[in-house]
Amino acid sequence: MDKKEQANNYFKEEKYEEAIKTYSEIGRRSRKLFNFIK
Amino acid sequence: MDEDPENYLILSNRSATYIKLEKYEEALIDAAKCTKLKPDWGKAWGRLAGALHGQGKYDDALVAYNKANELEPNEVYVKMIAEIKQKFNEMKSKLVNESLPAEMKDSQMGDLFASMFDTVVDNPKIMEKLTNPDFQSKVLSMQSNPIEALKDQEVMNIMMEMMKGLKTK
Repeated sequence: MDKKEQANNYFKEEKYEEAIKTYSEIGRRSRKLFNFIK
Repeated sequence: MDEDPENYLILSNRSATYIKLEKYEEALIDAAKCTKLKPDWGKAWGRLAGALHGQGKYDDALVAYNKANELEPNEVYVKMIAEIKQKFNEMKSKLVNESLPAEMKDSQMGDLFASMFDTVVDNPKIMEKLTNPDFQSKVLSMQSNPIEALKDQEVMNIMMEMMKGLKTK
């Protein structure tokens, strides 16, 4: 299961704090990659 | 996260999650970024509307819900728009029934105010102003000293807007 799917599952399971953490992690990883590619 | 244009979905989902947690300020920040990254995406405006709605900023929420519904018609947005308009109606009734003193309600001035209030239901900016307690006390002070109250530019502007509404009815 990838991070995005995991975050969406947390949301569906109403585990909102975990969902926020996971969405934020995806954002950080994505930004690193984005900055690297730029 | 806002630098990567592909992250609009993550921002949207995180905004929805913040809304669930009633953290409306954070939800608003994510939703606003989302609308910048994807301005033609109805859901981004829906998230923005949800955050504003949660903050009680009904007039701005109404604009955002309308934008969301315009881009992607959805019965949820229609329901929210109706809910906010209902809220404005309730505010109007509350203002007319509770805020105006009895002697004013029973007078011709009260009738005039009641009909003016009818004209502001579709004008959320005025409605918001009229529900502000500080502004209400300025309006109520018109009873004892109307000339003085009308010297206040804020009162004057709102009165002019309300009068315009009366003329076009």
